[in-house]
Amino acid sequence: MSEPSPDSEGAVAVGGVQFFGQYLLAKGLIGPEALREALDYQRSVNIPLGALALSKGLLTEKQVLHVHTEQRRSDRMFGEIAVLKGFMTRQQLDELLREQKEARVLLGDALVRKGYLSWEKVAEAYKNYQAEQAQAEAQVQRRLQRIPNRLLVDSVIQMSTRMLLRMGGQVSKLAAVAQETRLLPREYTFWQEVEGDLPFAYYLSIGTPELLALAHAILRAVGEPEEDLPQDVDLLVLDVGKEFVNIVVGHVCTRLSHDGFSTMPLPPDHAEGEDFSPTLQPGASSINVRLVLPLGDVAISIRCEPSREDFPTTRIR
Amino acid sequence: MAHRVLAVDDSLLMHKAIASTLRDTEFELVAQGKNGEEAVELYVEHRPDLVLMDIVMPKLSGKEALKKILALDPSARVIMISSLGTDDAVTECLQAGARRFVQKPFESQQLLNAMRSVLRHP
Ligand SMILES: [Mg+2]
Repeated sequence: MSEPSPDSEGAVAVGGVQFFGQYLLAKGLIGPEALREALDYQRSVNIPLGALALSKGLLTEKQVLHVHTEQRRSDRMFGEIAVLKGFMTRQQLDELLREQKEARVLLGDALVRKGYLSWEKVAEAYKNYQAEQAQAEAQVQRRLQRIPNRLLVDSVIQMSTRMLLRMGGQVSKLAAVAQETRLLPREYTFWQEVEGDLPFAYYLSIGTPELLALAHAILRAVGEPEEDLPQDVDLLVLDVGKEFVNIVVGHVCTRLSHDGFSTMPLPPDHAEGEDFSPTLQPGASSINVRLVLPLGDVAISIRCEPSREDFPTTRIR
Repeated sequence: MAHRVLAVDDSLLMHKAIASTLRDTEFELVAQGKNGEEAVELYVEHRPDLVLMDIVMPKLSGKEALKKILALDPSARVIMISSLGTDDAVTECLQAGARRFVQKPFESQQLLNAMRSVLRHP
């Protein structure tokens, strides 16, 4: 992981916004092996709502598919769409959600079941974690308020988070945001430049394990057989990284067009190495964002011209 | 008889996504291109029933390739597949003669529906 730059205002703050598993790691309560095993266990036993509805005969396969398609176009939850479409009643949904919740294995449960921690330790650690998180999240939100080009920055954060989930199946959280004079590159950087009314460049910097996990999830979703998934960063993985960025940026431009900005992205590109550092245009700034994932993090950088007063701003949702 | 499809995208991932969508359907992937120039060449060579066209590509963009193909064959059936759903891009492509616009990331069913609907309305 990269060191924070001197002017990063603690962009890589110790502690900070993180997932419970990372908190336990940072506190030395568990090791990386225990975390991986517990996360795998959680994935193997927790049932998605669609699968649960299917197994109960509440929805047909066609209806589940239909809801999934709809989900791609909106930010609504699976159950909400199923009710809106008239596939099930609100009452049936509530019942299903209750059942799913009862059966759900949380990370703490998984660690106890796998024998890594006692219930008491988990409960105590979780209480402390929640208190620290509330503080850390409030701090990041305060920093976000001071960042220029809010419309662009908010769209970038929103679309990056959304595509990490939709395409990569990874939940991510905003952990840090800072206006800086340079990028904080990881092993691989994927970027794309955008021309038009609001010219900007988007950089996604990512370490090898996070990149492979993202590529695997995306490739699985397009039907790539398990045995063909690349075990090292190869041309296919680099292609996935570039196309992921292209899709995020396309959606950012789409969002900007709704506010009247006309933009056109150039083809995406990539660079390797932690010393990658494209030069900034005079007067331009780099807004660095860190998103945490359950098993690591990614760094995003937005380079843009100085903020203009007439830019509308939106609140981050 | 299978409907012959030309897919053009600079991303290998997207070619995989399209190939897996068309597998075991009434569509046959006859050629794959990775930029707008190849799109035009492959269109002339194969005269496919349907073209799936990306927008952001090196050399020649999908928007330009769309216009060139339609100039050569005004009856060409082209579906744009892009993450770039800006008002400008969608309007420009549809006005130029693209039949549908599918935003990435797409679900297989969504793409197949668009392809079938284009073939139903010649
Ligand atoms: Mg492209």
